[in-house]
This record gives sequence, structure tokens and C-alpha cells, in this order.
Amino acid sequence: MSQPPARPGKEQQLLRHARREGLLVMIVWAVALAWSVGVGYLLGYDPNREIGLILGMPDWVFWAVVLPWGLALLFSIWFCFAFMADDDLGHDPDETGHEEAGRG
Amino acid sequence: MVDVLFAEGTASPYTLVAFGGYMAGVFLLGALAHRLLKKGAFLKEYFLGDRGLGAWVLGLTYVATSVSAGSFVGFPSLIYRHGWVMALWIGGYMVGGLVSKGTMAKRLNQVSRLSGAITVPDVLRDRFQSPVLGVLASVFLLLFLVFNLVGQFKAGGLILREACGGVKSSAAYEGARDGTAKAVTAAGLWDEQEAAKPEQKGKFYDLEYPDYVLGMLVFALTVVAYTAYGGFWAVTWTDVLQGIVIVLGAMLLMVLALYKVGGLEAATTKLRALDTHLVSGPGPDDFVPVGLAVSYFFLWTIGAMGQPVGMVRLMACRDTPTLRRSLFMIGIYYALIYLPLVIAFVCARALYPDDYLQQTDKTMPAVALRLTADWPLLGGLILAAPFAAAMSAVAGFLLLMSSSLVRDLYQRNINPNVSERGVKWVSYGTTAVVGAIVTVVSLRPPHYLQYLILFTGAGMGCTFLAPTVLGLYWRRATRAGALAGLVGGFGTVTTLYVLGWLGVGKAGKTGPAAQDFAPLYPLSLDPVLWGLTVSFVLAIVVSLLTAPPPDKHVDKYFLADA
Repeated sequence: MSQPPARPGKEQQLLRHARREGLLVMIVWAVALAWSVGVGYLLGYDPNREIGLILGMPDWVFWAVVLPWGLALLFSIWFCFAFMADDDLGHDPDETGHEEAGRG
Repeated sequence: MVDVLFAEGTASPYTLVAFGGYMAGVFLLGALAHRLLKKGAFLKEYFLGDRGLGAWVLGLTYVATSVSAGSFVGFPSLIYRHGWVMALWIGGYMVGGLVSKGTMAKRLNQVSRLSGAITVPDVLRDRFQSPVLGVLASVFLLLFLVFNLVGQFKAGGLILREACGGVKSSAAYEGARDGTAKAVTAAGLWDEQEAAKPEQKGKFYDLEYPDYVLGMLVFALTVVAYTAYGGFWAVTWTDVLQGIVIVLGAMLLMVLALYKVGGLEAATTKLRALDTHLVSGPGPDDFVPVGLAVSYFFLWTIGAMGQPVGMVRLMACRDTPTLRRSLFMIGIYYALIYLPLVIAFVCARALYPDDYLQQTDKTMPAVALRLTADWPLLGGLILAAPFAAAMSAVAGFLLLMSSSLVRDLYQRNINPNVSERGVKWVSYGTTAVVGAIVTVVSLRPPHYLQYLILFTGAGMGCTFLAPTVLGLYWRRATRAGALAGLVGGFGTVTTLYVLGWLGVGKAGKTGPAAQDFAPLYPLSLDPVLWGLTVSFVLAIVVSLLTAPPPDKHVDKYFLADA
């Protein structure tokens, strides 16, 4: 198994930003999955548990789906408008004079 | 599953008026889009809108394309049958837009610009310097899309048949219907005497089959015409109209259903009295065991990331501020579509407890028409929502198929020197021919299309996600690794579905796993989870076992000074 040779060049800024943002999103995804299915299973799948109502829906639906959905939307606001960086996406090769853009 | 859809038309003529307004809007946008096509760079303009999508358009086109007829026909019927557990089933959409766009959009857009790629197979071919990978990706894509398109055409035909319920006695409709009946009889597709037998009533080839064919032909002509004529801009502009119709339809249904039933608490209480399983997991018939809840969370999020029709829209985005705004809007759109649908059809079950248990796919249109009996125009608008969902999905898929044929197979492999004018006519022609072929297949669609549609969604995600993500973020990913991931994901999902269709592993099963055309669920997990795992593991292991790609091939995608 061979390792890639060390590269002297600097990694693109957009790539670093995209990787950082992608990692955060995947952490949030994992938390959402664990929360939604975990809470749903604990509160909604137990036949011996008395299911109450919150806002007219079964309480486990509120805790497992509606609440995290709302929190995910709040996170989206922060992610889109405070965390996600603006980067130059570059130009197509056929747009002459702009080939180097987008790699910075 | 959709065979029994809309067996009894109850629409009023006003329903068709609302439909007519919607169709006129679609044609107008298609014609305007054609005027926008520039003389130069035809392919990029026709298939990618010259990477000029703004935030609202990107958000709405992304949502409209991902919400297909299945979301508006199949999903409501599942809520009606299985109750509140369907909220958990669809819950992955809480982070669906965030995952698919937040992880890939920026980087995919940049890499496609660096190479000048306009399709997903184009991106893979250029990143991995492999024509074989490009051709194979195109072939897999075409295979999945044909299955999916037949399902959408069938749903479109059935919906239009329902919308025409109020004008069936008019001379114009009767004339068109009789002509269609004669044509399908002459073609040997239908036998009126056989269809008139009592045991055929309610089945697909009963006396209403010519009405379905007529509706399907109108649907097909409309969508093929505006897609072929206007290209990407026609598809995205009509997607915007369709996205608005979809959100409005879902919201109106929820409000009307809540009003009729007397509030959500009354609905849930009635459901509990009907069957306690309707308000708890895993639902009636063990429909959502916890393993499938996990699987569907994967399907609506990670699986959705790998859908080429969504990726193409990310490649068409104008800039990163647009991406950020549209990402947020997609989250809002999903919340405004899926949560209202769950509430609306929980209420529908409380209102009409037994009416649609045998013909569940009739639930959505029938409920819409019953709730709007006093306001038929409103009924037409709500009924236009599933039609819009089918139409927007078809238009996006149709364009994706023709782009694969024209760009990936014809221009890059058969005739690289084709002129701009030649490309233009091949693009128009291919879109129209693909639409015509799917129309012919849809005259006798398979009975188990719902599972085929699920198969295509899972299949595309498992086939394309690993090679694309690794190609974007891991310079060590090699062409052999990408090929292994592509073939491994495709092979795993296809094998599990085919084994399920052959009846393997069905003995002693309950719930979805026991159904005739359901796939095999090893360890109670959906094929999407197995396909993704196999694809990623193969792509990573084979990449590590093969020589790294030459620096000259990958530097431009990863280094600032390359």
C-alpha cells in the first residue's frame, strides 16, 4: 500500500472551507439521527408507556421529530448566515481569461 | 400500488379550469425559456442554465425535483394507513437539504467549473481521467431513470384522469376518449369486452384504461414539449411554479383537514380509539421497525446526496451567497411540505376511517376533492400539486437522460467534432425521443412501480455518492477505486432488490419485508444502507491498494497554485 507523496503546494481555500463545513454538517446529521430515532424508539415504541399529547400530536412525535426539526432549522440559519464562508467558485475553461480563478 | 388510483372521478369542471391555468403557465414559461437560449455555448446553457441559478430558483427547483409523485400520492396513502409513525419515517428531511447541499454543493460546483463539466458522469470522467467511468456512469444513470420516468408518467396519467372527472360527459372529452379507445384496441393493448367484465372493475385495464392513456398522453406531450423546447431554463422556471403549487397544496390540505376534523387533538384521539398502533411505533403491521427508521433516515439524507438530478442543480448555482440562501430555503420548504402532509392525512384517517383502506392510493385526490367540495377551484389547485410534483420530476430526469446521451455518450465518445448546430438538434431530438420511448412503455406499465421508484432512488444514491464525494475531497481516490465504488453500490442494491422480487428471505416476515415486490432486508436494514457501505468501503480500499493518481491530473482540483 503506497502513500501519496508530500505536496509542496498549498491546498485551495475553498476546499478547506468546504471540508470544514461538510464535517460540521455530518456531525449535526449524526446527532439528528441519534436523537430522532433514539427518542422515537424510547418514547414511541414501548407498548407499556402511556402516550400523552403535545400540541395535539403524540408526545413522542413532538420530542423525536417536530422539536429536532425546528432546532435543525435554527441551526440552518446560523450555518448559512454566520458559519458558511463565501468563496469564489471560479469559471469554466471556455470562459477565457478566468481559468485561474476559483483555485485560490 | 398505483393501479387502483382514482377509480371514481368526482371532480367538477372547475377542477379542470384550475388545471388549465396551471398548464398554461407551464407552456408560457417553456416558451420564454427557449428565447433565453444563447447562440453560443449551447450545451452549457441547455443542460446547465449557464450556471446562473439564483437563490429562490435554486431552492424551489431543488425541492420540486426531489418531491415527486411518490411524495404526494404514495406518502399520503402510507400516512392514512399507518398513522403517526410516518412522521418518524420521513423525519430525515429535517436535515435533508442541509446534508445534501452543505456537504457537497460548493465543492461540486467548483470542480465542475474547473473541468468544464456539465453532467455528473462528466465530473467523474474528468476528475478520474477515465472515459470508461464516464460511460459506465451514464449507462447506470439511464437505466435508473427509465424505471423512474415510467412511474412518474403513470402517476401523471392517473392524476389527469381524475382531474377530468367533471368533464367526462362533454362531447370534446368523449370524442378524444373514443379515439383513444379505438387506438389502444387496434394496437392490441386493450379489449373492451374483457374490460367490461365485473371482475375487472377497479383494475388497471378496466373500462377506464382509455381515460388513463388519454391523461398520460396529455401529460407526456406537455412535459416533453416544454423540456425539449426550453431545456434547463424551462425545467427550472416551471419547477419554480410547481414548487409554489406543491407547498400551497400541502398547506391548504392541512388547514382544511384540521378545520373539518376539529383540531389535531381531536384527530389523534380518534386515531387512538380506532387502533392504538396508529399513534405509536412501529405502527400497524410493524410498518416502521427501528432498523427501517434508521434506514429511511439514511435514504432521505445520505441517499439524497447521491442523486444526480440534485447534483446537477448544485452545479448550476451562480455563487456561494446564492448557495447559502437557497440552503436555508430548502429546509423551510421541506418543513412546509412534509409536516403539513403528515397532519393532513392523520386528520383524513380520523375523518374517513375506512373509506380508502383497500384503495389507499386514491386517498390524496379523494380527500382533496372531499375537503374542497364547496370550493372546486381550490380542489383543482390542490390536485395540481401531485401533478406538478410528477411533472417537475419528469422534466428534471428527462433533461438528465438527454444530457447523458448527448454529452457523455455522443459528444465525448462518438463524435467529438460535432458542430454547435448539430449538438443543438441532437439535444432537442434526444429529449423528444427519450420522452416518446417512455410514453410507449407507460402504455403498459409494470404493476409494482412503487418499488421500482424506491429502487431507483436507493440505486442512484449508492452508485454515485461514494465516487463523487471521494473524488471531491480525497486526492488519493483513484480511478480503480471510483469504478469499484460505482459498480459495488449498483451491484449491491440491484442484487438485494432482485432477490426480494424472487421471494428470497420472505418466509416468516411481517411488515414491509413480507410484501411481494419488497427487496431483501438483511438484518432488517434497507438496501440503501448496505449499498452505501459496500460502495464506500470498496472505493476506499481499492484506492489505497492502487497507485495514487498522477499529480498532473489532480493538482488543479486540490492545490491553490496548480
